[in-house]
Amino acid sequence: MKFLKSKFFIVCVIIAAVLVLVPAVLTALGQVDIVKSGLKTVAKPFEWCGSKIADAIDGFVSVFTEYDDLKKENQELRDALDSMENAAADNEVLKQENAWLKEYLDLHTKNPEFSLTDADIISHEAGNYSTVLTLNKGTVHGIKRNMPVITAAGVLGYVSEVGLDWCKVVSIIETSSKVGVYTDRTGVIGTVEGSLELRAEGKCLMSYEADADIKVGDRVYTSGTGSIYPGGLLIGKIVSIEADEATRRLMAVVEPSVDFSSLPTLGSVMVIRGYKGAEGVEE
Amino acid sequence: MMKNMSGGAEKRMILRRVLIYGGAAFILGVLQCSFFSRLKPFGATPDVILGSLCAVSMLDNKKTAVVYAIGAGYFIDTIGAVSPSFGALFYLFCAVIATVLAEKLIPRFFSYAVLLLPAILCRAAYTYLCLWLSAGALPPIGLSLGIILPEAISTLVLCLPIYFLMKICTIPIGARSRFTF
Repeated sequence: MKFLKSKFFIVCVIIAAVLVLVPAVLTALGQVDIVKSGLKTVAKPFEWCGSKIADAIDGFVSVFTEYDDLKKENQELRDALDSMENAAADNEVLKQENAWLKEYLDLHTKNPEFSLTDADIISHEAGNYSTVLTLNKGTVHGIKRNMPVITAAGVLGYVSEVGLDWCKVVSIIETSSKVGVYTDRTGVIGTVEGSLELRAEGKCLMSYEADADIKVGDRVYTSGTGSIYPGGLLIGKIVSIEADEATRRLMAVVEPSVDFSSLPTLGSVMVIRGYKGAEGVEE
Repeated sequence: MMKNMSGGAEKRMILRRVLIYGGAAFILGVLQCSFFSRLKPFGATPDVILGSLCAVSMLDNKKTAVVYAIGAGYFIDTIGAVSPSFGALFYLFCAVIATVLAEKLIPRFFSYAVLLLPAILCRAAYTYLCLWLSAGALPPIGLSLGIILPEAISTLVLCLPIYFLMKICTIPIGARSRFTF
């Protein structure tokens, strides 16, 4: 108890409070914390090494642990393939799906105004209460706060902090994330937000007016409202619709096209450095 | 022990502590954010920094544990969290609890394992608080347990070997007088 009243301990508490407050204030003001940035830059190569070692171990272990699963999956895929070959009716669906995938893969060709930078995921969150990724690109690569981050599958999140050669990304399933969206079938406008309950399942919520025409299976795209995401980026599809008794609005559960359960193995993502009409990012 | 040293020797001892414990915090922090967070043993990222803090509290003096807590907390916030985060204050709080309890325990591995339990309890409370702050509302208990329990198990299991790592770190410092098997 004597120790807790000592000058040394009081100074330590003050230092700890300063170390918590200063980065928080600097981040809120959009300023770069030089100490933090320096530390992160020094740690980056080690994090990259740690990540690669973990990849190697995971791959090695999965040879033993996933053999039966893979064998079973292989058999199931064979069965599925047989049935697909015989089902001519499915051809049209597959054609449409292929066309859509091709269209998305040609994202850059179709959106020449997008200025994209590829980045590798080098580390993940320290705790288990948020989905935060660190990428290996920072201010020297032209990355700024609030730039959207996408994968080949769809929207991943946005850049929340930037250092010299690293940046942190907050995913769309986080509770702090809010995205303006529309549905492809009827053009219903709403917002997609993270939900604590759905975060663990890698899903998020779309809220919209109760009289809107929305069905399970509708695809959800970014509307371009707000200053972060450009319009027309795929978020995911609606998998269920629930009524929110508190707000008397309908809430649709959206399954993001990015599989958040496989984030650790994702590896690379794309940062949109600029696009036509962007406010917070370069054009 | 440092009271009996001359000024120069004391400075050298402090420098040695900074280098050794700083290195340990750096390595463990990087491991936590890039290695363990990728593999997620037992379904969650273990808080290995917490384990190392308990070991420092048990094997070294209070001042060292407190400074280690602040430094490691700031570092882990820097590389693996988005602001605002309270790592430095949280680990400082854990250091106080751990050093108070460590005084009453014989510094052995079994005591360290016992010391981990209240520390993990603190970690669980901290995770719950962070969930609460990030959600803006009190998170459901069932949902929180789904996050907190794997984290606690993962931390407990993976922190046990940390004791021996930190024990090795204390050899050049000379803090082994508090330690026996």
